[in-house]
Amino acid sequence: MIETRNLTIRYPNGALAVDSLNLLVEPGEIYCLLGANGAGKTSTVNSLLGFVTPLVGEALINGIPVAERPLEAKKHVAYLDEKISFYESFTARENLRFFATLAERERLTDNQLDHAMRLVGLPEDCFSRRVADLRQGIRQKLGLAACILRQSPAMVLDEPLSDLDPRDLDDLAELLLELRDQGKAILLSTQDIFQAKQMADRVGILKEGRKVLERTRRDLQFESLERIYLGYMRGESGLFADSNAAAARQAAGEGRIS
Amino acid sequence: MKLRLRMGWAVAWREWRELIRSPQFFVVLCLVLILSPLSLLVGTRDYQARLEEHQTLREEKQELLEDPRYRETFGFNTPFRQRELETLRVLRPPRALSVLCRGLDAHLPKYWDFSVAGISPGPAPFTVDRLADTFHHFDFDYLVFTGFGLLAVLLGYGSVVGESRAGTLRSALSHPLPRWLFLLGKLAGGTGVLVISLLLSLAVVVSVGVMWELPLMQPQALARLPWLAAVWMLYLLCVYAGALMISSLAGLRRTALLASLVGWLVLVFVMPSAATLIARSLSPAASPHSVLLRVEKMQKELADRMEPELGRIYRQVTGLGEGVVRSSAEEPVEAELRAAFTPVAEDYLRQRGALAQDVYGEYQRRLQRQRRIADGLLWFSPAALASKLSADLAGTGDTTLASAYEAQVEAYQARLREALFDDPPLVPFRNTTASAHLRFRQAPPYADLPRFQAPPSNPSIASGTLLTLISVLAYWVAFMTAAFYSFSRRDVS
Repeated sequence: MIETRNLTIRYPNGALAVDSLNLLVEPGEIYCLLGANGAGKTSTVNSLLGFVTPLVGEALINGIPVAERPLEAKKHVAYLDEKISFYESFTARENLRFFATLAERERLTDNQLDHAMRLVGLPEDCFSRRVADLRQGIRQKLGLAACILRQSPAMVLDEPLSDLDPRDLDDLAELLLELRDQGKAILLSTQDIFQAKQMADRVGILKEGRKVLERTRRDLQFESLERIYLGYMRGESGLFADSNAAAARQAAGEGRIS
Repeated sequence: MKLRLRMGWAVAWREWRELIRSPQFFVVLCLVLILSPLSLLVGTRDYQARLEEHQTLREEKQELLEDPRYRETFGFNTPFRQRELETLRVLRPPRALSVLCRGLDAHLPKYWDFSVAGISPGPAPFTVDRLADTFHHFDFDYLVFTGFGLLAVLLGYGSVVGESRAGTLRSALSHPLPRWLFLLGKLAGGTGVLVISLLLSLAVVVSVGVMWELPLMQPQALARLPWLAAVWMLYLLCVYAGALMISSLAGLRRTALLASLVGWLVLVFVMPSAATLIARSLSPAASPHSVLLRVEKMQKELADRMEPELGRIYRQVTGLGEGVVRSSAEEPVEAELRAAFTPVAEDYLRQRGALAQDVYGEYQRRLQRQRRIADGLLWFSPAALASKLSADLAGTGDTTLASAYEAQVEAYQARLREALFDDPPLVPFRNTTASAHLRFRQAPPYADLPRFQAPPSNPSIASGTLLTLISVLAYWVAFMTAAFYSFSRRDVS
């Protein structure tokens, strides 16, 4: 599972990137961290990968504090970002083999690598092609194949679905749901409300480093996530508090406002 | 541990393949591979020309030594008559490995002459080969320091910053891969590429050498080749580690390229010249020729004062008139003449020795100070140190062995002074218009004079070389440490 406790991160210029963030992603759950640019999503992801050290609080992967034992923590988490980066002069298969080795996987055969690529729907003719010749959607799928090969219980995805055409987007979304169903804890950082709504079991909205709201999938049956999110972005937080929705939430008894 | 090794190997292997496929590697390696046999050709022609010249000089000297007129030395004229000078001449043979690394052979004179007036260095080795003249300093050693050095810079500068800009650094470090292992893998990959390139180039050189039956193929020379290759590799590792360090610090590829190139150019090209320039400006010394002329002028002034004084004594004792020198008149008063001559002649010799000592002493002090300053400054350049080391190991010596050679030459002059110059068999005098010598003792035959001994490979040279080796290693370790430190602090967020 993925967890942050009172996580506070400061930018080098002194401004707060993340302010006392608490979140918990359970196994078999997709948690969408929704926020505009500069909201603190990537900083949160960075702290989960040990790329930044929190000022206060901690980030944990499978209960392991990342700042204290980064290498051990990274054994349990796979990471995919918006511009998933592979070595362009190498083939898809060579890249997968390289990153699988870094993930401490035993030496994988070509068949195992090809199986992972087939699993994410990568066309066969791409397996031996140089990554430089692959389009963005295919690269994202390849990134997901690399994540699958890591066989880690947690996944941190930083805007992995941006810049994709609708078909690729749909394919990847489906894959993520499958991975969730296999019991993986998935933290998905995104700006896309529709993706969040489509995939998330829980949604947290980040604004200026603070988590201003968290909703479960059930809550969102009674509320419009778009309205809530846009309201927060415009600084009109009262927008979401329409009486019907509040009543429905109370009836459901599961809504939480942080 | 096994997993760590596999991860490190994967990084190294990937880096190796990436670098091998890079266009900069292909272009520079092709260039170096073309230039390698050319450098050997130039070096060989140059060596053969110098060898022929050395053999001619040796034959001439042998003829002189066998000439009955020169079997005995005279020893007071300044300088000796040309032929006498040449009989005392010390010849320096060219070394076989100067084909690859000219070192001392390119910097020290091809012979030295010795006289009362001091050491007179002969001209620097020259070549009759036009091609070798065009590339005066172009040897394989130079090619390694420039061509392969440039290759090391081009392979290293983008190593970290390139991955950082491409985002692959972030991808790689999101895995349970320690940063030090990542950089170590990269270093191993780059080192592998440099080793292969250097070996390939050496293989070309050796193959060409075998085909043309070049002097490089002598067993003694070949036995030194692995040592030379190790030093060249050490230099390349230093450059690569330096570029890697800059790559770990830089934010942009072009910044890293610029900083690496400037740093390398300064260390390889600017510092040696600057060190010489600074040393010369801080401790200016006249040219050996002008020092010799100055000594000759002062000695002539002294002779103009002292030799007429001896002539006056000669007239008094022999009773001969002005302008007359006659041996028949000397014979009856030989003992009296010597007794009267001795105190003045001794004073003359003492003054003469002191004068040469003063001028040459000052000149030598300035030269030594120059050398100390230049050597001191060159310790700041790993390239200069590695160059010195390669020349020393090639046996063609650049500084350590050259200094030993020069010290040996000075020691030889001191021994000749003691054996001949300070106690000359003939003392000159001038009876107004007539000049002559009074024989004080039997001139020693050349065979009895001290022999010149080329500097041996003694422990002091070995320790000098060892110190240089340790210094180059220290530079490599320092660059590596800086690279690891800066990479460990690099922001990948």
